[in-house]
Amino acid sequence: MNEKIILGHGSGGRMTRDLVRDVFCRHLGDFGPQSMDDGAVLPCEKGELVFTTDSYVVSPLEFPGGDIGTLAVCGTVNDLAVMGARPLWLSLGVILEAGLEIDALERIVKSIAAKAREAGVKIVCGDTKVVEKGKGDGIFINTAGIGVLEHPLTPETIEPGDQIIVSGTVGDHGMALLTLRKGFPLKSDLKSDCAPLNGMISQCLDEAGVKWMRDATRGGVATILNELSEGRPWGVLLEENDIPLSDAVAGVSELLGLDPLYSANEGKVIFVVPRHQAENALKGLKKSAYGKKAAVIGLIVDDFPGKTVLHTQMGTLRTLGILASDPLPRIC
Amino acid sequence: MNLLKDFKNPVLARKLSAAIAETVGDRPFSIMEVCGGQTHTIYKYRLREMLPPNLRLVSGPGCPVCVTPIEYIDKAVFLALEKGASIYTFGDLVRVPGTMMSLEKAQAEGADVQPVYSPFQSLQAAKANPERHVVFLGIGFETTLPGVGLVIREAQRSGVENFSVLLSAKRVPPVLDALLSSGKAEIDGFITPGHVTSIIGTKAYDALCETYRVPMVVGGFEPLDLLGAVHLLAGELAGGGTRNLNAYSRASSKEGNVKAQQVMEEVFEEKDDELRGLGVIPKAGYGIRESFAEFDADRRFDIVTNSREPKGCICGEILCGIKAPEDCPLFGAICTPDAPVGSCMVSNEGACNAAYLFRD
Amino acid sequence: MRSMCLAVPIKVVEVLEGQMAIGEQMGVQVEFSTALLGAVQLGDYVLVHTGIAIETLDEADAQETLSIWNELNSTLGS
Repeated sequence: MNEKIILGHGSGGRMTRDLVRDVFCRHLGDFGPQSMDDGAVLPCEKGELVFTTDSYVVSPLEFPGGDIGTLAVCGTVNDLAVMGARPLWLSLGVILEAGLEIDALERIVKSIAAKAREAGVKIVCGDTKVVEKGKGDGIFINTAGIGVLEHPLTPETIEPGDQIIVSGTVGDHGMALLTLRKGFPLKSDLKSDCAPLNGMISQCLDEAGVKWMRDATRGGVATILNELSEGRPWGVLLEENDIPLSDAVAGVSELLGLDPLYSANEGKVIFVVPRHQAENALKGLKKSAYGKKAAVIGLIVDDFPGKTVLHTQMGTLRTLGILASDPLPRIC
Repeated sequence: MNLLKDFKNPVLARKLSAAIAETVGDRPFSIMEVCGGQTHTIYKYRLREMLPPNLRLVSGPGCPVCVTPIEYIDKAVFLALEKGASIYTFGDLVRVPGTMMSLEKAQAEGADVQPVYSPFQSLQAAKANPERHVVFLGIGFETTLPGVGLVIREAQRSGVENFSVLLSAKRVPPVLDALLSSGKAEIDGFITPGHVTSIIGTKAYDALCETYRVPMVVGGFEPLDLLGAVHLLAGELAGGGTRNLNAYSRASSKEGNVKAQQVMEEVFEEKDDELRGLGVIPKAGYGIRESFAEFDADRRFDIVTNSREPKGCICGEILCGIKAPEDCPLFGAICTPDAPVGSCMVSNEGACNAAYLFRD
Repeated sequence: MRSMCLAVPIKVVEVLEGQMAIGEQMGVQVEFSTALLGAVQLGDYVLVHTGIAIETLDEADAQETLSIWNELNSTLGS
């Protein structure tokens, strides 16, 4: 039988130390904490810091395209990157449920290491706690992140005519996880799009005067654009036919009556750039493996101030609201 | 061909739109789309923009979640919390408020509530967990009912003892009959529900067209299907016709699905039934036959409820096509999809939900 | 999520035992019951609702419907 997490792993004693050393530090290597001290000592750079935190709960823990470890690194790295920061350091807090297989934990820590390496961030401090079986969902992770601000955003300069770009197909993560639900008779080759986007974003920043960007996570593209347009003297007009969509996402959406514009992404950013720099931005994005399907999907308009409006494939106009309630647990 | 994409073709939509405008001229008409799925498509693609302003579309009572009496939710909550049953349900019911609480809130009180895609999943769960009693919430119109019947039949054949269905099954033709005979809603023509018709056949509406001298056209769920149905109806309305026509003939026939009708006949029997907002309507529902009594949660459990409708909610009048969601004082202020008061706000097929989600 | 009248055209790609089949739509595979239909053939389009096929779709009929709509403009002369 495989070894499992037991309450003793959270005792703070020898078992905890062994788990941290044999699982976390071993796999994180150079990208993990370099001492067992209570805190990390970090060099102070000039300029401004960006600091963020995010907690990760997902079921199942491992899914096509990633696992909870991938999410925990990419999510926080992307939150820093879309603030215009260069991500540098992450903390890693894990709450383990007794009974979790140590093999599974090792796979997750390996994903964390791989994504930290890819993103070029270091995990400088961490914490491990264990809760009784039945009081967790295998593993919960919190990561906080610090980055250096390099490209402050300027949403106040957004004006009609500016172009809206998405870095690739929309809705993949949410739809992929939906089809994995227990007992669900759907199968597809859908994968989560979870990826660290700081590299891709910096390519785009180098090429175009990005005024605003956000990763389109929970609530999807429609919700993020609503947050952009809310309270502004201008509106957002999206062209439904130009929104990149994989066949499988379109298929699952049809089968379950869902709207991919409200489905979560874990590897997609929305940018607002001046019209004359849109081509450059696309060129920059397409240099990255994560931006190959980047496309202009709409623009800022004088009409519909404060709103996000979709020009539907039928040629009609429909206001896109904010996601009212999470569509994912509602299996029909 | 692609049976989904081809029916969203904007070029054909414009042709239909022009033809509809030309056919109806400037006379005012009201058309009811009976099914909630049709309402959803109409809002999602803003099809009203493609119709002349004198052609009014009214949402009908064909949303199963909307017409399910509040007592039904209370019963499900009771079974989950007081009887410890595992509740398997189509997801849309989870958020419908009961008198005391919704199933979602019951879940927070410890109830086992599992959203499913197919009723078969509930029977599989019963087989896999013999120590639990599994109750499937069998709500729906004729589209969904044959599947529920199949599952009940299969449960009996395989001798599953820890499974039952809490049934709230409705029939479209008697509901339309009640609506028409009441004379409350002034409807000139009906778009009848495509997938219900796949099961019961277009013949089910013949008597209604004849009795009430009103045209009916079966409509599908893609934008072109609905425009196509409106186009046929427009022809009837303009010429004073009262025919029973079919704009969804790729998926529905005169006789319907005879096998499915046999399953329903075997497992269920017609009964007078209450629809939320519409009251008790003769023969508008189905009950489980005596021969399958052991799978009827109502017979199997002593269910106690004390149900009351929420104050101020006008779902009933909305379901009859007398009022629009925007006429309700609660709409968008107190009643939203996040905190629904009435059932029409909960289901994605509900008129209030569609009107809220796709509001300007 | 829509459920109660949501039925989607699915192309049959595999017929299984016990009145079940696997179908496909846009790269997504669905397992469903065929108990409400007669025999289904590979390549048939069926309407699947809550995991159960409720009707076989008539492709020729669909084609004919589309072409009737397509000819509408000639009557309008536009």
